[in-house]
Amino acid sequence: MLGSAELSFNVDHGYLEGLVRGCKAGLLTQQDYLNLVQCETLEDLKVHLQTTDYGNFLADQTNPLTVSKIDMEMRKKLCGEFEYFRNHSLEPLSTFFTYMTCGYMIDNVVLLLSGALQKKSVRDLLGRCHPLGRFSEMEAVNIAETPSDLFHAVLVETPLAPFFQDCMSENTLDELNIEVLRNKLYKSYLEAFHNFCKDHGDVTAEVMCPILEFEADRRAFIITLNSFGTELSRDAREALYPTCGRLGPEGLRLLAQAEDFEQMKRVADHYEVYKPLLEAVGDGSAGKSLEDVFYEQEVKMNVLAFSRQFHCGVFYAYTKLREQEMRNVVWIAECISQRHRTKINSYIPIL
Amino acid sequence: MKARLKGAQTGRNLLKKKSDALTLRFRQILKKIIETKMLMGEVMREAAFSLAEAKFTAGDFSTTVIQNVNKAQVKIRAKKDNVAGVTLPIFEHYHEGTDSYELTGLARGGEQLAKLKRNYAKAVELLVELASLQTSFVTLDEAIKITNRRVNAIEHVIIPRIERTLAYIIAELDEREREEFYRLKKIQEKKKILKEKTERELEKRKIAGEVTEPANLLAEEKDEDLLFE
Repeated sequence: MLGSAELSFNVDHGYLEGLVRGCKAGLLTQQDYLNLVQCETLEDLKVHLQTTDYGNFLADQTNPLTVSKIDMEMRKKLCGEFEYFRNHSLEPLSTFFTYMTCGYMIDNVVLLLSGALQKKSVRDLLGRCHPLGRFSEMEAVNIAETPSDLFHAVLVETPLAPFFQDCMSENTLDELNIEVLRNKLYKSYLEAFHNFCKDHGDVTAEVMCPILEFEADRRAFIITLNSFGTELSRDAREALYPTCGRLGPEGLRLLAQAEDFEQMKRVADHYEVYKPLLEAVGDGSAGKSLEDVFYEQEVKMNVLAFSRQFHCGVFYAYTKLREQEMRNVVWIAECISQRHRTKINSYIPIL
Repeated sequence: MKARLKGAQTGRNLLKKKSDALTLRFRQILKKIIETKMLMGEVMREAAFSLAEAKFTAGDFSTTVIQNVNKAQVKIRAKKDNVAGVTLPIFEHYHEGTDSYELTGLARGGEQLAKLKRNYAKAVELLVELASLQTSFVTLDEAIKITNRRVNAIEHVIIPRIERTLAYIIAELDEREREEFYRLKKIQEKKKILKEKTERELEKRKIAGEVTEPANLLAEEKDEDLLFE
């Protein structure tokens, strides 16, 4: 019932929702992007960013200003906001936040695993982990000798345990290629997240489930596209597709059979949501790539999430939009610093 | 001695030819180095930009790449090339092993990563070529300097020395011959003077009657010793 959401949501989460909507209003607008694109040097970029919501976040950076410093500072800001939201959240919003961080945790765990396999020092790896994906057992990773040890000793405590259990049913962790492992984990994660949102019901389900379904289908398409010509077999490929998307078992089976882009397009033609997306893909470097098209669609869906009230999806949408903005700014900064301005306008506009 | 002069001249001509061949090769390599360096600038720029593109789509994959490094995929073999007696090293690259990063970016940015790999592979190939060109350049430079030094030494030191020796010898021989000739002449003159002097003396004493001619047996009519006529 819609009524229950309006009645009960604000009790626990009203403050945070208001806060996130305020932060969303501080995202860079089209006008800001136009100003940034016209900068000649990174110093100009910094000056322009000072007028936006970013303020003086680069103020205490010493010269010379590099793109990686900008990236680091923006990420710190995002992490600060995210942690603030998370620390002030109550159930079920905190579980929602935990689910959101699982994605980054998977990346960190894969990184630490491959480092442990190669007997590299864990100290440096910890510094390179994504800050949003921190979990308390990270430092204990170096005591494990093999990946199975790692799992039994360390990862059982983390929220990632059920995802690992899905992967471990057939092979042990040792034989698995690190990328295949990462994608398998992500698949279980997406499906679990989707179930959680569906069980939660109400507006959250109405907003988040389409977004997560789109994410699942997008992964299926991209994995297919990138596995043409590699050693990944069709069955292995099919095992990596998340099943919670709109493509369903039928579409996924067809995708697994596809051998080139044309066949993929024909599969997409059956679904009227994806048909225009795949047709918008241009050829070679002149047009948009499939990834760009998907990014635009994701941004559109995230912006639409803000048009409904009283649901947890706004936090997810805000984080994703912030990340996209970070990517855009870094892209523009790189184009400026490398003086390669031909493609400077191929960022994804948000608002 | 003359044989030595001839030998030195032949040597100098040969070395000059070697020096010319080396200089020719040197200029060719210089041109190629300039071309390759310009191309290198372009390729590196392209590669750095494709890195930015890949980072935009795929996120930060640098840590994954660094963690999974085990063996080199592109290796270099050194071959030798001979130019007018100078061995130059030439580097040739070859691929070994499969691409261990085939599945990186499977979920995001695979296309851009493939383009990135291609661009940087091109850059590495160019680098290898540039490396062999530059080592040849340096080696050739050394060799040319040495050869030119030798050519100059022969031309300005050895050959003049031999020629001077030769000229000296010839001059000495000529002089001795002249000395000999002069001495002979002088002796002849002295002998003539002596002979004239003794003849005049004899004349003088004959006129004074001190010296008679000894009896000429053949010219006498009467022989004193004959008893009976």
